[in-house]
Amino acid sequence: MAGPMVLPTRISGTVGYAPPLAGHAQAAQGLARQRLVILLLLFLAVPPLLALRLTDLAIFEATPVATRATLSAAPPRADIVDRNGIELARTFEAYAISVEPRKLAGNPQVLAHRIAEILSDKSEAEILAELTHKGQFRYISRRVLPSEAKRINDLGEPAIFLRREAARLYPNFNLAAHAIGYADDKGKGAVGIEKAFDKRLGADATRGTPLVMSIDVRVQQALEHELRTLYVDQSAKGAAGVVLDVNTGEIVAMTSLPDFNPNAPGQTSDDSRYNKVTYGGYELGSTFKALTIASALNAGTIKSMDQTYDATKPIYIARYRIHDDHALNRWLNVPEIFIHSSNIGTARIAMEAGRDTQRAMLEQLGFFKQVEVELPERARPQYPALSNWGELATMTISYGHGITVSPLHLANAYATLVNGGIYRAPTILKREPGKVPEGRRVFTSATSDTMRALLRLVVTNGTGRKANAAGYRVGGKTGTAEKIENGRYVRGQNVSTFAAAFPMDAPRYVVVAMVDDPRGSKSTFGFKTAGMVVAPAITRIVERIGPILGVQPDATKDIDVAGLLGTIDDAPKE
Amino acid sequence: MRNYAGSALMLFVTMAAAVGSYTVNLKVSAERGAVDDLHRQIIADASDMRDLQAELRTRARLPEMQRWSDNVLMMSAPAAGQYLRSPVQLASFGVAPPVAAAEPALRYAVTIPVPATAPAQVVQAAYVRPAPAAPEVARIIRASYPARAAAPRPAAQADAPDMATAIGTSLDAAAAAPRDLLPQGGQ
Repeated sequence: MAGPMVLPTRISGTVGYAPPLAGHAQAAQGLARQRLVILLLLFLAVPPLLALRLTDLAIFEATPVATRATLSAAPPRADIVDRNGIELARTFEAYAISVEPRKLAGNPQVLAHRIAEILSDKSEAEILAELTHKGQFRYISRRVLPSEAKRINDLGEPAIFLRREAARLYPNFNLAAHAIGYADDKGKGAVGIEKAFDKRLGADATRGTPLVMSIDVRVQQALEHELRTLYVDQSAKGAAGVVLDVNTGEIVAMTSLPDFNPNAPGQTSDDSRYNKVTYGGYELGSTFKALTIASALNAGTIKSMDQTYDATKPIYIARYRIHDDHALNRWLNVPEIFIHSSNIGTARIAMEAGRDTQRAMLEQLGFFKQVEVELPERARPQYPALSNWGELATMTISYGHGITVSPLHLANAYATLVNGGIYRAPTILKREPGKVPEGRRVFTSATSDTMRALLRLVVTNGTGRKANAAGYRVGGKTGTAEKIENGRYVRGQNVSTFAAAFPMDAPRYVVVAMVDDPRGSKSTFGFKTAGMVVAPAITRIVERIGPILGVQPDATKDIDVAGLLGTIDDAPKE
Repeated sequence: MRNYAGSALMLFVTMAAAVGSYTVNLKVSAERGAVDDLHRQIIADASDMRDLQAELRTRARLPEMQRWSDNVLMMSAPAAGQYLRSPVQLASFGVAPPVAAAEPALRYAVTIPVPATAPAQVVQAAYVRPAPAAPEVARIIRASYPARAAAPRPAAQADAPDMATAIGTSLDAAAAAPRDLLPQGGQ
């Protein structure tokens, strides 16, 4: 069996190593070199890549210094200012102080005493109650100034937390609270213009520019002060007032009582947060008579002021009786109907003009829809359906019953009535002189002229004599309507309204004031009617706001009412 | 050796350029930092100003001003009569009232028949006494009422002092003057 030894080979297919063949080593070396070169190239490629990225970061993705957020002076939410640039709302840096009572390290009583020394608006007992509360997390106080927050921080209590938050400040407190509204804890508008323009106030692009309202705080203060005096004197349930620029539709002042402090809106009742000027629906009574007469003048059914209407006896229609409070029981001409505020006469004028004329006029004045203003709180007027708008409805609506609208609807209708007959949507934002909308014509200018004289006549010789502010040529109309509660008229409870405009020779402003359920007082000799209750307040308001608004009183000027006076037999008594 | 010197020079120049550029760069970034700081300071100051303004406005809010006016200052809006319509009206305030006119008595004679409404007459009535122009007074009475012209001059002279005594010389008593003057004038 001796033979040559055979080495195991790969070919045998079994275990064993083939001897290195010639050229194998070179091939392996070449491969290794190749790999090394590739690796080297890769290493060489890294710095240029880094350089490229650095260039990109430094040049293309860099934020220019000027646009860095930390260097922007814009407040987190835009300010709101009045038409003269006076601040109405602004944002300041504040802190929310909270506590996790279970983790409290110090003595709660000592801590409460120390915190109460820093926070003047909280009592020690209130703070102690929060510190010893069983909950996980409690707020001790919000809207705390940075200096006070620092002092609280210095107390060194680990369970007390400070969180930065942007707080909204309303420097004038209750003034124009309903129009401005307020923003909630999260800085989101909840009511009023804060809600209506929430996006505009919070957007990055626009928050640097203040939002300019049409309100003039001085006028607002005068209106609010006089109305509040009336509201308190009359122990009324509420009051509302608005001052409107008749030529631009800007709301110069708007107030609703009771009101609230927007800096602490949660501390007042829901009722006080409700804006009666835009969100309240009222039967505004005889103030509508001006609109009825204007529509008849416009339609041509009243051809002359001497035209007479039968007011000898009440009108009986479908179980109802339309009568006059101070019945003259005779035929009355148009000025007499107006200054005596005759329901019978006005109903006859409306019937003569017809239902369609009345409806068309009310529609053009925007009485069938929410008032056109930017505020989110707007009432939907209530009026009879067309199918139910018969003779009775035409007659009652002619003197302001059977239809509810907001006081702003009425103010804007009066502005349309006296400004030459042009309707413009009212606005709460300032309109620059060149940007006043053209509006649309509702009444002819001749109708407007006649109505000015008639309205002035009511103040010089009619039921509104107490509104005759010396030198200001005030014109207007009283309206006293019984209040509706749960669908029924309540005897003895009135809504007394006065719609006025001044100066009547060239009207510039409309003032509407309304008192909800005046109780009568010594100063009004117990009367609850608009002529006794609201008219004196109109005088005081006009005398205060006239000089501010640049209306100069002048006893030598007036609108000519002599032609109308000649047709009147007797003037009404108060 | 020369090659080394050239290289060293190149190295030096490069280093110098690099260091110089870096210095400029540092300077620029320092300036930029200073500008940023200033900018931040301006914003902080503007914010402080806003805070102070807000505090001022809050303290001097209109309802508060109203309270001051109601309780302390008692200010009220100007009334219609307080406005001037023209410069002429303003100038009219500068003219002295015609009290010390040359012949006050002569004016009475003309104005006596007018119903006693003008207070100026009353005031001037008290001045009759200091003007001892007795003959003139007498002349007036005669001029107005020729029917009484026949009355003797001394009587008329006697009337004048009596009337003046009745009125008194003080301006306060002047209100009573029309009652005295008019009967004497025969109205």
